[in-house]
Amino acid sequence: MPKKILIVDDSAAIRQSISFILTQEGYETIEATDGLEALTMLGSIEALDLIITDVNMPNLDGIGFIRKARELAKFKFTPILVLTTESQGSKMNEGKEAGATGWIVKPFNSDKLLGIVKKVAE
Amino acid sequence: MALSIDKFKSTFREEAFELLGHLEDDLLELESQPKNGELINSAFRAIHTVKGSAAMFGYDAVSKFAHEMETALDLCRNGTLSITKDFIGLALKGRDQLRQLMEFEEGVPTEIAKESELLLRRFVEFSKRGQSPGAPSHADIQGAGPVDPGNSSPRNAEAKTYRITFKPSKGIFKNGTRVLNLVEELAALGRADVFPHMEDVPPLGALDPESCYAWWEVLLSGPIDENSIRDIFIFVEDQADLRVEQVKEEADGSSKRLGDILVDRGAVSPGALREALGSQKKLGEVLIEKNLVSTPQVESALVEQEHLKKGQERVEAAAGSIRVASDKLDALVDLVGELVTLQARLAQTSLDLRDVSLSSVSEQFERLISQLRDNTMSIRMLPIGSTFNKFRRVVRDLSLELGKEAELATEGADTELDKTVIERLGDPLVHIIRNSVDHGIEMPEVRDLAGKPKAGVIKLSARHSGAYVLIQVSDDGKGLDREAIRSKAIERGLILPSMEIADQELYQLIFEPGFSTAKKVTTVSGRGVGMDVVKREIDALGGSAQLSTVPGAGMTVTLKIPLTLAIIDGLLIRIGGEFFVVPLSAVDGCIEIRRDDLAALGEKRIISYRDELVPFVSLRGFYEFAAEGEGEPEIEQMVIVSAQDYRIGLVVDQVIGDYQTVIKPLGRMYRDVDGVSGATILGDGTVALVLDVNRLALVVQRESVR
Amino acid sequence: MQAGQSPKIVNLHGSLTVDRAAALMGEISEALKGGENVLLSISLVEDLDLACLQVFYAAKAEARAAGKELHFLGSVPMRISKRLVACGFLHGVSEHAEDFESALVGF
Repeated sequence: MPKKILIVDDSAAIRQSISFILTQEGYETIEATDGLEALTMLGSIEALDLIITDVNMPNLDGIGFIRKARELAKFKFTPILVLTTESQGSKMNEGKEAGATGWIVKPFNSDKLLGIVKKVAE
Repeated sequence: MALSIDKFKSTFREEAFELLGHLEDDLLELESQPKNGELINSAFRAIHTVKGSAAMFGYDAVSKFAHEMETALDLCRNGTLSITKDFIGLALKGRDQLRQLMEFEEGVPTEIAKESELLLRRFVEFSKRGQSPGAPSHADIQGAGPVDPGNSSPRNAEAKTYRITFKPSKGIFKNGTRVLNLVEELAALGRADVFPHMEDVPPLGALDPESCYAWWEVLLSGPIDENSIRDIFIFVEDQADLRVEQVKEEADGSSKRLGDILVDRGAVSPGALREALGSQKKLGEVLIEKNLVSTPQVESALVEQEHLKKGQERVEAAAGSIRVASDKLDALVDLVGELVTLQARLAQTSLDLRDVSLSSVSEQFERLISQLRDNTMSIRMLPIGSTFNKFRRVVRDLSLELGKEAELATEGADTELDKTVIERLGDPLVHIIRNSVDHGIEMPEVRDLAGKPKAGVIKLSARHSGAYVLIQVSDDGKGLDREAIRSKAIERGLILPSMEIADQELYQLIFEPGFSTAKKVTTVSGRGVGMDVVKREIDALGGSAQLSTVPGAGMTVTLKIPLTLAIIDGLLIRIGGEFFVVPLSAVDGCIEIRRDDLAALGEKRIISYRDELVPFVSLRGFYEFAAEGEGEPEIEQMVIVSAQDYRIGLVVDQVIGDYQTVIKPLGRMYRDVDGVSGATILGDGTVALVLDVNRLALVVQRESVR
Repeated sequence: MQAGQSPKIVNLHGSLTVDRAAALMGEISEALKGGENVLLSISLVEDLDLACLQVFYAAKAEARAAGKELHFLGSVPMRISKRLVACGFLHGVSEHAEDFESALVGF
């Protein structure tokens, strides 16, 4: 069964790029445009192998989303990666405190993305 | 890189323009309500997203400019600076500048670059007011991402040995961290001896199942620098105690003594060591007896000693492998099979004789044989890379012939597979690769127009996935033409014109016999004898083939192949006194049916399974077994299997369960048995036949038609 | 094994990851509460992470303290075996639960 990954980002370009890279490698992806939509989706999903989420998003930001997701029993231990930029060192810590597993620093290429995904989700 | 996200560039551009539009609206509104936090937030988000995406898609000038604007807006957002009319003016100018910079992916004209420079300086000035003196200005930060230390490590670094202690904190699971992954990754860096410590795991009654108790000591040798070790643990820096020390090897190359290692580690004092050495017993035992060190401490020190010793042996044994004729290897596998059988008889005999000493010998014998079998199987494994060169040649010759430019990139050449499987994979792979060059990769001038590099790339990769190896052939060509495939499929009568069919299923039709979408017949592929042959061969290997495509960007064929043909996972079943094995990969499910219900079906022999009509056959009847002694059972068991593209049911006497089995070629005795592909020896020495599901399906299908 | 008592078999299956560690612990302690010895059938385990591996070690310690026996049963899925080798728990891939158990470091 392919691993299922949720990608949360308000940028369609980033979302689709990540999804493209991951599906080429045999992963199954679903996408949400912000934290609130993602959280709603989690309600109807049984399990996920990984969540990749941006930080700055309208409605519900990445940090808030991670906190809420960790409150759900079925996503208590799901690996979560935060998308950050190199200037946002503090976001990495904030993300970890909220319950993230690790982070991906933008910009990244497919090798780097896949390396990190493999590290936390395989 | 074969995978390119460039085709999302247009999405990025649209998105950026839209975001810059929002930014403008926000800034204009902010002018009249400068304290509106939500507006500042929204403006910040817009610029932040533009910055991040621009960097991803190579718009460096945009990214750099947006970065300074973001810094300034962030200071306003967190209240350090307040929004003034001047700032709004500057920000709007900045926005316009970004809009202009979006036109230049690279090579910004000097004039515009100068304007950017001036504006940037003003943003930096603005931000400076909000920063404490001495804080670094972001404008000083050069380049896009952090340097990857993995690549920056010196190539010719000399081999070093490290002792790494990794103690995860109790709560490490709570962040979704997969601790074993980290240890695996670490061990893969070089030659590793890994020593797990489980002594802190309490008995079940006292265990918190969601806390981590385990910790590791790892000895790692290779041309590795400390940073690449620490990098693995970067996500858990604050959730683990990580110690990395370099182990000094003895200058004269002699093995290190256990005592020295323990002293080195601070596990025991030099004085205590001298005292213990005076005793006649083994050092480790004395130290443990005296409670000077714990058993795991000594064990892990012994591991270190062994690790260092092996390192030296490795240097001495320069030539590590020999060549062996493959038929000798096959003979070895056969012999091991015989041994397994013989051992089963020995075990039975010792049981019958109730001789304790004999049964203890038999048990030891059994253990040795199972190790021997595992070892023998591992000898048959070869790296798939040995066949890669052949494919490089195929790509080169064919692209030359067709006037195309293409190269082959490979990955995972050291992935190991059973040698028989590798041999049988050759032809299908050649066909898939040819197909990619022929149908996938466009002519150079067409690629040029599409904004792709003239030379296409075909990527061949292999990697392990459980008991399977995934082999992928992907190209960056034009991808599959959905409509062309659809009309062809209709023309060939594979689907009806009115039929709505999912893309994935549609592409799968390419594997159907007689399918070809090429406009003219070329010498290489396009005669329609291609992909169906591939499919058949892969099926025969117990694998599967999948196709995916992104129109305009290429397609990928994924082959999922079992690691070995010699060992398969099977479902053991019984009919009368005989045992049979059904390959587990073909099993869909098992159901129970009342015998009366079966009888009521009469001649029809078709049942409904998951809303599908499935023909079935009773293996008891098929192999002409006599009815069971005390009448047939009340409840019949049926195994549903998938063969070719349909399902059939097999009525059996008993489903026993999963069984991993070593397959042997059929002896002369069984060669004429229909629907059987091989034999295997069960633990007690009885022979079980391996069912050929495809063959059975054919027979059943034929009968149900009649 | 004690005579006259049939052991209790716990059938493990699927992905044994941290999400299931608590349930797994409950199941095994329940089995250990009965008078019998316990066998853990591992043929159908698809994945095993550290949390559940710890439960096995803890169960072994618990059984030992109670004077009972706890063993693995079945064949060890290759994926599990390989992973444990990489993490130092085994020194070579072993297919039979019996070999696996006797080779498991510190078990």
